[in-house]
Amino acid sequence: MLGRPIDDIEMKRSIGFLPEQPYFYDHLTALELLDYYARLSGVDPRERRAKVTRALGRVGMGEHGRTQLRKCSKGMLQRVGIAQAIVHDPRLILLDEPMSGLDPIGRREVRDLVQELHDEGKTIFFSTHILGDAETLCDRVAVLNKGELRGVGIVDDLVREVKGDVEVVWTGAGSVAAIEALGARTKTTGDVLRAVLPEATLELALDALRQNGGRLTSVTPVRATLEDYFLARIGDSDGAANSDEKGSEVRA
Amino acid sequence: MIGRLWAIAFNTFREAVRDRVLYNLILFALLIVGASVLFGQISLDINRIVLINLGLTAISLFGIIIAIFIGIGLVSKEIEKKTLYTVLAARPVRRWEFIVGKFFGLVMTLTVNAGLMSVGFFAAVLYVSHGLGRVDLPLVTAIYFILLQFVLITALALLFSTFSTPIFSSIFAFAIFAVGTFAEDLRGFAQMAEGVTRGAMTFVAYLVPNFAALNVISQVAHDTPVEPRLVLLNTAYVVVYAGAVLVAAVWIFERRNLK
Repeated sequence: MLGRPIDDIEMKRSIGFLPEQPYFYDHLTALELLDYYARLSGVDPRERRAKVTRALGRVGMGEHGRTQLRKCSKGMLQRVGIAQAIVHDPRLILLDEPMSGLDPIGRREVRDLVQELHDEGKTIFFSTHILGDAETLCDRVAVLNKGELRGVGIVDDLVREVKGDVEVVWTGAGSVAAIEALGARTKTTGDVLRAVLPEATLELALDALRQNGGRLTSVTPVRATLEDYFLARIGDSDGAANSDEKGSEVRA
Repeated sequence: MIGRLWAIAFNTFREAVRDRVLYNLILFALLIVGASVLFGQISLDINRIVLINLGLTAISLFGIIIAIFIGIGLVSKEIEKKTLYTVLAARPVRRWEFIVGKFFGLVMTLTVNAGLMSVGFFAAVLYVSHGLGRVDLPLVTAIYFILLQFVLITALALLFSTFSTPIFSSIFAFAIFAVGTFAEDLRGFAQMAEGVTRGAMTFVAYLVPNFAALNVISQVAHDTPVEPRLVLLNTAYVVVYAGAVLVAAVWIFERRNLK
């Protein structure tokens, strides 16, 4: 890791790690915990106090520095966990499920923080089950299912692999049966009808509309998401419930 | 390295203090005050002997009990609470630094605890003897030996903590302390045996930590000074013995699969 063997002690100065379950010394306050980890990571004593305060501030825990961890909620512990992962200014940050235990505002804040750290030139590697987070934040993602790597690459490239759908909007109820014969479901809103079809069947659908007196309003490509890629990769029969999706943001 | 050792040691100390370990001081204070008042009625000499015996024995026993109960959990509790991984997996900390830091943290806790008890103890001696003088110097030596006992038992409890459950560790630690209290008798018995048995018994008798040599309480209670040579020998003995036990603890801990 970082050009050094995995058991190299010195390499650990340059990594920050958030475990999935934040198990920390609960007899300490947030400030004391961060100070402890900063000492262990060899942060310069002259800068330590400022770095500890800054890390707590960045995760929105600036006012709770003197709260003992045994009195903190799960969301607060998660924030402290992220703070301890960045307190020593590491080059590589490993976050295991960084959004877990957070409310929607907290999740947004952590997303912003990850983006900020990315903009500062850090490499962040995080795992998540929330595909939207991975899609929003990651330069590159890896998809894991039951411990096996199912795909890895830049988000756009992966999504492109999934055959896209198109949304067709038209008027003229006479063509509904022909469109549905192509395997699409039709929705009706007043006079307007719409259906989402696989892109490959678009020509057939347009023919069907012409032959049955339908008047085409629009054809819009529906962008595939990481979720589509994920489901396509593991297949419905594989059971998404047991799956594990990992997102990674790698800047070599 | 020193910075990391200090950080781990101080965290161990702080944890013990916040877990209200120093509450034993209240019990000690009650004991000493009670003894001073109760035995104040008897003649001055007897009162002093009883107070010194009782006070020093209490300082020793309270410390030994704390050393064992905290010592056996130093490693196993960190594994159980998974706090160990946040230190060893993610920080540039070597396993031996963790063990040695924990050791010094507990020794620091016990020293502070014994120091506070000693203040109370000397106050009580001052009260019954109406003054402190050169004659009381051996008491300081006796307390120093008690600290050496703590160093030994902490190292042993920590060793057990690296491979055993807290319950078994505490049984081992108390057993070895009890046997070590009679170490000199064991050595005497060994001399009485014959042939191979004598060799084996002598080996075992010398393997057991010699807590007997570190107990000069009744000697100083009778105002008998402690030879400087014994101070030197006991110090060297404890440094070597505790050092060897720590090396064993590190050796085991380095090989443990902590996944």
